[in-house]
Amino acid sequence: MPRVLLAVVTSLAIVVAIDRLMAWYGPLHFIPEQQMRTALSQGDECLLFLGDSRMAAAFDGTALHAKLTEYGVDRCVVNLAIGATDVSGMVMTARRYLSAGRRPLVAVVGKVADSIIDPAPANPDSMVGNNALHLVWSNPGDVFSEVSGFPFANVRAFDDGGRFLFDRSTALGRYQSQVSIRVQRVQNALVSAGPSPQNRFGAVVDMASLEEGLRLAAVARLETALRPSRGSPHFGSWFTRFQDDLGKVGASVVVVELPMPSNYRRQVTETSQAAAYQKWLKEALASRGDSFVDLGRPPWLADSSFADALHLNGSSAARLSADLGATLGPILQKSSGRRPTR
Amino acid sequence: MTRLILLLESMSGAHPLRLTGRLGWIGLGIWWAILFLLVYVTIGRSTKFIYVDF
Repeated sequence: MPRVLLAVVTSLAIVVAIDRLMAWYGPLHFIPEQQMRTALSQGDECLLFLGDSRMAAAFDGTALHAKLTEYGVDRCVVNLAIGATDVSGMVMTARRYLSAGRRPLVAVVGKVADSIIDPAPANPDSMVGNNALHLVWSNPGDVFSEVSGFPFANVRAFDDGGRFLFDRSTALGRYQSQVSIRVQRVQNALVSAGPSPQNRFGAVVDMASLEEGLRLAAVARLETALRPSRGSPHFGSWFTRFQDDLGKVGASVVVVELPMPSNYRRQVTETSQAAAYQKWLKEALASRGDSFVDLGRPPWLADSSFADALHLNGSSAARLSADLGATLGPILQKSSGRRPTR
Repeated sequence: MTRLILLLESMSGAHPLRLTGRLGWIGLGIWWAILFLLVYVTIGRSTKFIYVDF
């Protein structure tokens, strides 16, 4: 054997060994995977909660169970609301849950204004952090839905699709951003003046800039979605896939409008565009036997109900979950009449 | 000092390596793996809005 091959084989063996190490270590420390493991252990006929970090913040299992018990419909509750993801991440999450053989009774989707409308086309650069679930929970065939125009629409589509397939093919690729986070923490410790205030969703100052970005884009996204030229359904292909997946297992969908601070409500939720979209959504869901629940402005809501620019604080989450339980109670009572409970 | 400069120049590829035994070539493979890992951990694909349990 040429001696240079000895060096090649040695380096490849080390890289493969580290890949196997990541394949073991990555899932153990990837929060979406942790949530999924807990969810799959809960059994069937549960309430499946999905959404982004705003749903994760609004979810209080204790308050929800207490209210469902009052209605006599308490049952297992699965929290698969995953922060920093969009509707495409939610669809991938639900698909993963269903493909493991679990059958929910009802899927409860937390949304705010335009958040279930199709996001901008993804590329592998955005599949980092919790969005690495697009790499971790995907199949190779998903390249066609994940990368618009793959393979030959243009050079970008070809490149993005190739990178998606390459990244998802190894544990090193799937969990690379998690390694980056650790390295960045070390870097920040070395160069930063000091830690900025954080909560479980990240730096508080980052939440303010994220809220601003969402707020400034929302009305235009709602307007675009409602254009007759876009056709129906106005939320686009991802949420349609979600409804189809849930429909195949006989689960109904309840979409819940979540509260936001007053500035956001003034500029987005209370606009004519948001009202028109909500009216359409309510009818579209009802036509499939699904439901819409508006908890966007409960009577107790104040700006002090929020822990940061986006997320409800603990006591407000308990109140919202109780309100949600009171809304879901009658829906579940009807479902119990149709399906056996466990 | 000259030896250190020679070592650094060899590591950076400015001088051809004079590896004779198998261990030398295995060492080179280990060095390549280290370089790969250095790139891997500093490639910088991250986002502010993540909550991983590392």
